[in-house]
Order: sequence, then structure tokens, then C-alpha cells
Amino acid sequence: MPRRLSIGLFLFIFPLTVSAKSVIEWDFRNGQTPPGKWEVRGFSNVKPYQEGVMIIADKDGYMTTKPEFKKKIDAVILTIQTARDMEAVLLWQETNIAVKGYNQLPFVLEKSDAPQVVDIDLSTLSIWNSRAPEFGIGVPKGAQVLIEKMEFVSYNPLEKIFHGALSLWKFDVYAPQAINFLWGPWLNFNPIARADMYLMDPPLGISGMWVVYIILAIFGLRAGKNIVKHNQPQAKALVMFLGVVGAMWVVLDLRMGSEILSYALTDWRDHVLKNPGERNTRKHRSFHDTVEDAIPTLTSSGSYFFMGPGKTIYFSAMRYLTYPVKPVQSGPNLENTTYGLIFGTNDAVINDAGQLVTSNGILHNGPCSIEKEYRDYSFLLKCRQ
Amino acid sequence: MIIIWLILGLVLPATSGWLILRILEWKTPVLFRFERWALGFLLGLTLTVFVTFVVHTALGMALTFKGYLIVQVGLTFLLSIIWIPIRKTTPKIENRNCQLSIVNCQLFVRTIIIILAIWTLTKILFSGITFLMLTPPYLDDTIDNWNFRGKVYFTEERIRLDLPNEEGGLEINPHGSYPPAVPLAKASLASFAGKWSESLVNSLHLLWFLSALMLIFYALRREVNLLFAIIGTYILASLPLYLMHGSNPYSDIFLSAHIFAAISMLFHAVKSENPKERMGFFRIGALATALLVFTKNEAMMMYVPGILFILLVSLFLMKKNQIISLKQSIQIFSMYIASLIVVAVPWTVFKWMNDLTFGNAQSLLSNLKLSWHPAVNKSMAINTFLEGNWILLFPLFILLLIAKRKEAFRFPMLILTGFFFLVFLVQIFLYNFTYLFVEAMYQTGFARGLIHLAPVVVLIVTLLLSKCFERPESE
Repeated sequence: MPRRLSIGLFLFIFPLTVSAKSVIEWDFRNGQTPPGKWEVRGFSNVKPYQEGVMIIADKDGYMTTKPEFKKKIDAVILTIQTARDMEAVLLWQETNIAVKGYNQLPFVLEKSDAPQVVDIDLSTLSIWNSRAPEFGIGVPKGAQVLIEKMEFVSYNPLEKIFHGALSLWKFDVYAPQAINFLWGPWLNFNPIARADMYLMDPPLGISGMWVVYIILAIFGLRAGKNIVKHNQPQAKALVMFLGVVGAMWVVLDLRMGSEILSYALTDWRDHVLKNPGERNTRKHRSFHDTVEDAIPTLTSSGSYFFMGPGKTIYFSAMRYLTYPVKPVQSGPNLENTTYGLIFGTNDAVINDAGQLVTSNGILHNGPCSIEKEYRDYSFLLKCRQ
Repeated sequence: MIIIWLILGLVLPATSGWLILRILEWKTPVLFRFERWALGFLLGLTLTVFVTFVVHTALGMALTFKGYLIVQVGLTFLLSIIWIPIRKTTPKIENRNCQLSIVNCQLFVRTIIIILAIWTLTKILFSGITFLMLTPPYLDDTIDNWNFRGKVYFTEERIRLDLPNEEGGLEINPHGSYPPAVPLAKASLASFAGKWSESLVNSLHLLWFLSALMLIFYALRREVNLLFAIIGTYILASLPLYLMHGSNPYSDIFLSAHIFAAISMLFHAVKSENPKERMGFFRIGALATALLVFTKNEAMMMYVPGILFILLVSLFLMKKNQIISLKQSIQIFSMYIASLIVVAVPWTVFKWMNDLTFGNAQSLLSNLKLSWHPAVNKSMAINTFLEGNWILLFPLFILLLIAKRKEAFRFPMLILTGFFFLVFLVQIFLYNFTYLFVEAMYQTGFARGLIHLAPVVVLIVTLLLSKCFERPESE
């Protein structure tokens, strides 16, 4: 049996190692424009330079080429620089020429003084096709982009299995939705997908529970075979199968329990062991730390104004934390407040007249002044009634 | 200090619970010693806050330390007076102690049990203490409902339904339609401590979670051997979403423990061959069913009718099999209804007088337009089978229902499976055909429904598992 097993393993693993991870690199530096001819539509100002190809977009546009990849491309790594924050797109054409237009994959570019590396996973994208006849990049009007390099990465099957196993043990963070559901083990097959997997809802890839079900199906079929071919009693086969279920249960318990413990450990690292002024609480960041410091001032009168980053959860939290002193977020009572807290938004300024102004208009006629500045665009304000 | 206030705040409600259980058991104790304390804490606290609610709303007693204390002392005193004669006339109580030693197990099994027990306790205590006691409130319903209402009751010293809105005014808050048991329990602890402490008021949730684990252990211990009782308890404790609810200030574990208490007592009653023990289980079951009304709205809308239906079927079958007489059946059913009336009438009258809805925040009855939302089924399947919420509970449940179908759907196991399918199918119907579909699409209400039923499912799974490992009688 061990000999058969080792031969089986060898026959399984050997073909996997034949194809190695590969990277196709398009280096735009030194005036080059690989892999060949690029077609530019929309914007017109595209020039190759020593540092890479520079796009100055006078209007929305894109540039495409005919890539002819020989292997399945799992990810793209861009080395790129932009003069302002923006959303760009990767785009490619369907292999079916009857389909007009391009598939688009948006990605965010942040303003930087030097080229930055942007990793984009394609393997988990159902619409991605490595044999797309055209592939390119699109930028919006006003963009100034320098593309230094594009790398196309393919992983070999053994690497995919390795990264798949790692992805099953990568933990989510404690988001508010965790009280309704936990994504659980999730499966994807390369480190680029794994790095960002929980930034998406649902995560990148497929449910890792499929792996468990496949293992159970294999053992289930084996149990069935033992009953049919070897006349094993059904009860005995069921007990053996339940043993496998038990083993998988313990593995999943370790996986999920570790994730919940990781939430708690993160809380200790970011909140419990930190000093006031440095604490963060999960996705609410410095909110509680800020509020704790501001509460004595805010509750010095019967009400105060509050402005948070859109979500009502912050208002609800303020209402709870300062009760019976009431936060006011809108309406005529807001003018009757003296103190206020702005948390986590840069959509408020004090104008020359001392008025507190947001994109929706005047929030408080003031004159207002900043009493204290906190992290995450947060301010304790005092306004005269 | 938190521990001191927690003990002081819970000692009388738990004692009341213990006393009422002893009274209901009458002269034939049916509960294990620790089971009585776990169930006594669970039902005693709910009973105490219910009485507090009645005294507050009917007599205008302020929700102050003094007010809570008067109710708690009064209730304990009253129950003691009833209990003392029973104690005197009862022959020496044979306190049921169950064998808890695992020394007889094989070394390998013992080692696994010890490792998993340490792992499970670490998970529960570390996550529970961190989320409940060391970090600020984070989740919507904690801030909007359970803790907020508790803080309002504590601050205002009364049940207040109009709460601050975004414009600094006051308006009737839809969360006021939820029974006030959990907020009142929190407010009573805060009143004992003299301040609103997150750690103190949240620690209750960990105790509810632990009491749910103890209840399933003892419910199983009554039916199966120690090893399977441990396996069942481990199964429930290892469910990730159940642990998340147990270690966060939400009220669904609180409800699930009450549901489990009600249905498991009914199950034990039907299984019991001793008529006196049977009546003891029925009486405790009636109390648990009645108090369900005061836990969450789902209870009155769904779980209580489900339990009553199963009770009726059980009584009918018991009568048919000549286990009980028609008169006894009527008496048992009347006892359930009378208990329900005692709890449901004050709460329903309060709702009616204050124009509160009978659904969760929204009225189910006034929004009952039927239209099919087939997409919810995919969401529900994903939540049940493809996420990390339940590990393998539901695939195992289905497998065992198929493999052991004769036992699973035969009386008395039918009490558990029948109850599960009855309320689960009602939930599936509501999510498929009513405005509640969003609760399944976003996996909010649907997941809560499974939390409520998880202990019942674990009980069924463990009982069926134990049957798989039974040796055939011929051997």
C-alpha cells in the first residue's frame, strides 16, 4: 500500500512540476512599447520616455494591443505612477468577435511621487480570458499616468495547490457583518488574490467548504464501495464515514476558532493594550478613542452636534454613549448646540465667516472654532449660538 | 468589582429560578443539580425582569436599585414560602448527580476530549471577555436596541419608548416593540452597581451562552452516555456563528436557550415513563414556554405556536397510546395556556396600549403582501452550507436524518424534528414570500433563525449520532 501510494503521489506531482511559474514582462522604459503595436483611442497624448510610457489624457480613452499569451494568465502586476487619485481600468476583448466592446476591470490608483506596484488578480474573475485578442488599459480624462512595466504572471499547478492551502487559512477581519455570517475558509490560488481576498464581498475565489465536501464525497464513495463490493455492514461503513466527518469538523473548528481568536488578538493589539489617543476599534478605527476624549466636553450641555462618515451607526453610537445628552445631526435644533464632533469625514470646513460648511450647505452658522483635532479627519468644535 | 456586582445582581434572580424549578418539580426532582442552577439562572432572571416589568407598568414602581431589590427580594421570599412546605413534606431529595468522570474512556479519547475542552474554553473565554468586556460597543443592534434601551431604562428609571432622533427631538423608537427582558436585566445590574458599565451589563451574554451549553449537556446526559453528551456540547460550542453571538451583546443566544429549555423539557416529559417525573418536566416546559413570550418577538409569532402545536400532537399520541388520560391531556394543555396567558397578557396589553407593532420593528401583519423572491434560496443555501457559520452541522443533520430516518421521524424524536421543520419551513416561507426576504438576502434574520434553532438541531444530531454507534441487539 505505501508503495502504491508513493507511485500515485509521484504520478500526481510530477506533471504538476513540469510547468513552472512564469512571468511575461512588458517593460516600457527606454522608449520601448512591448509587445508590439498599441492602438490608442480617445486621448491622444501618449509618448514613450526613458522612464516609461506617459499618458496625458485630454479625454477618456484607452490603449490596447494584441497580446497572444501562450499560458493562462493569473494576475497582472503594474508598475505605474499617477499625478492624482483616480480609477483606471484594465480592458480586454472577448474571444468571440461577435461580442462588441470590452470587458473592463476597474482598479484604484493613488497619487504618488514614484512608480508604485499595483497587483491585480485575474484568476478569480469569471469574465477573464487569457486568450483575449486585445488587452489594454483605460484612464479617465485629466489623468497623467506613467506606465513603467506590466507583468503577466502564471502560476504552475503545484504552486496553485500550495497557495490554495494558504488561502484556506487566511482570516477575515472582524467586520460588523460577522454577527450575521462569517465567510469562513475561502479558496483562491495565488498570493495576489490571497492578499486582497477579504477586501471584496464575497471574498475573491470560491468557498473553501467545497474542498471539505469533495473530501467527504471521496470517503462517502469509498464507504459505498465497501458496502456494495466488500459486503461491509452499512452501520460499520456509516460509523467510519462519521469518523471522517468528525475529523473534518475538528479541522474546521480549528480554522474558524482561530479566526475568532484572531479577532480578539487584534482587539488586544489595537485597543486593549494601546494608550488613549492611539486606540483603534476594528472598522470604526479611532471613533471610540476620539469620542471617549470628547465626551466630557460634548456632555457639558444638553445637546451637541455630530457629523460622521455617512453611516447612521456612528450617530447611533453617539446617542448611546452620551445618553441622556443628545447628539443632533440635522434640523433646526442643530443651531442651538455649542459643541460638536466631526468624525471621519473631510466634508466639512470652517469658512472665513466662521460658518461650518459641508457639501450639503451650512451646518452651523457659528462662528465655529476647532477646540481639538483628532486622527482620521476628526475635530471637536465649539460654535457660538 | 464587576464580578461582585454581577454576583450581587444575579444571586436573587438565580435563586428565584432555582426555587421555582424546585417547586415545579414538586416532590420528584427531575433535574440534575447543576442543570437546575443553569436553568434557574436562565428562567429566574427572565421571570424576575418580567415581574419587575409588571410591577413597574401596573403600579408605577420606579426602576431604581430599591425597586429592583424589592421585586427580587419579594419574589425570592414568596417562592421560598411556597418551597419550604414542599421541602418538609418531600422525602429526602435524591439529587440527581450525573457521572462526569471520563476516567473510564480510552486514553486516546480522553486526550482528545481534554485538548478540545481546553481549546473550546480558551475560545469562549478569550473571545467573550475581549468582545464583551474589554472593547467598546460595535454592533448595530447593541447600540440601537439591547444596550441602548437598557441604558435609557437605567438613566430614566422607567421604561421609555420615545427616544432621541437625529434632529434632537424625541420619537417612538421601533425597537420598543421588542420585549424589554434583556434591556431590563442589563438595567437592573447597572442599578445595583450604581453606574452603567459595559463590562458588567455585557457579561450577561457570556453567562447565557454558558447556560445554553450546560442545558444541552444535561439534556443529552439524560438520553445518552457521557461521551456523547460531551460530543453534543462540543458541537454546539464549536459552531462559529453561535460563538460569535455568545461573545457579543446580541439577544439571540438568550432566545435560543429559552427555546431549547421549552422544547427539551417537552421532549423529556414525553419520554419519561414515570408519571410524576413526566408532570415535573411538563410544568417546567410550561414555564419556559410562557417566558419565551417575553424574550423576543419571534418567540410569540413563531416559536410558541410551534411548541403548542407539537404539544398538542404529543398529547394526542400519548392519549392514543394510553400513556395519559384525556383529563390529564386537558390539564397539561390548560397548564401551558394558563402560563402563557400570565406572561402574554401583560406584555400584549402594554404593546396594544402603546401602539407597538407585533413584528420586529415593523409589523408583519400589516405588511403581509405575498410575492415570491426566489433569489433568497441561494443566499440561505450559501449561509447554511458554504460559509463558515455552522461548520458541518447541517450536512451532518441531513445525512443523519436520511441514515436514521426511522428513528428521526418517529415519536418521541418527532417532537424535536417536527418542531424544527415546522418553524424552519415557516421561516423559509416568510423569506420566500414576504417583505422579510431582505433578511435572508442579507443573511441577517435568516442566520438568527438558525441561531435560535441550533441547540435543538445539535440535540437531534447527537441523539441520532449515538444511535449510529449503538451495537446491534443481536451482538
